[in-house]
Amino acid sequence: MTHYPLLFARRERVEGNGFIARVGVSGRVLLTEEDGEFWVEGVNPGGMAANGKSANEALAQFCQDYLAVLFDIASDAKDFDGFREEVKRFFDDTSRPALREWEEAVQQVKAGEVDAEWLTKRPAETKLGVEVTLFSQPAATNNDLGEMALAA
Amino acid sequence: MLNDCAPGAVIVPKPHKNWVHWNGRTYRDLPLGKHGARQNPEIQIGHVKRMARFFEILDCAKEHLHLQ
Repeated sequence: MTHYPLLFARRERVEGNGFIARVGVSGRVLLTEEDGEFWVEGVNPGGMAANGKSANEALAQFCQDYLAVLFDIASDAKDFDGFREEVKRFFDDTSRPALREWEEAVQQVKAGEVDAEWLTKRPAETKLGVEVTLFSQPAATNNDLGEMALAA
Repeated sequence: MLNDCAPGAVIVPKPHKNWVHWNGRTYRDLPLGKHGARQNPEIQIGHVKRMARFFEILDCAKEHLHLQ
């Protein structure tokens, strides 16, 4: 079973009850090939996973699931502060088993034992976090396609 | 499985996913199942395995679900 340690960067716009928020995340996910299918588990944010017949399909499904979780959080939040608090809790709910395997996989990448040529490489030490801000000034510069990168 | 491996766990259906709260933590990505929001949906075993890993109850879950 091969594990790929990935860095996950996205910027989403989410509508809530009386607010529009921008959520920028720089997180970690673990991509695993298992029994002919691919699984993506969140490390940060934890508590979520998606699968697919290919790595790309699993990663696309993970991005869709991530957005669905943000929408569920928004549907519950009474206001922007409540939304931001719950999104931060979601991000900080680290999956410890996935983190252990993610860190081992980084060592394998650094040793040249694991590679994913289809992905850009970024330092495993890339700063992680989630930023939730009120959306008030539309600008084309806010648009961001996001990125999946191999942590190396 | 949750009754034995995560006693007190609570499943809360949300518009897009089921959330499972246990031991101060929340798994937010359990599929609703093909029939929409239900308390006991038929869910692909792989999703249950990932949830069990997140809650660190996988050994117990394996015994109940005959996972490898």
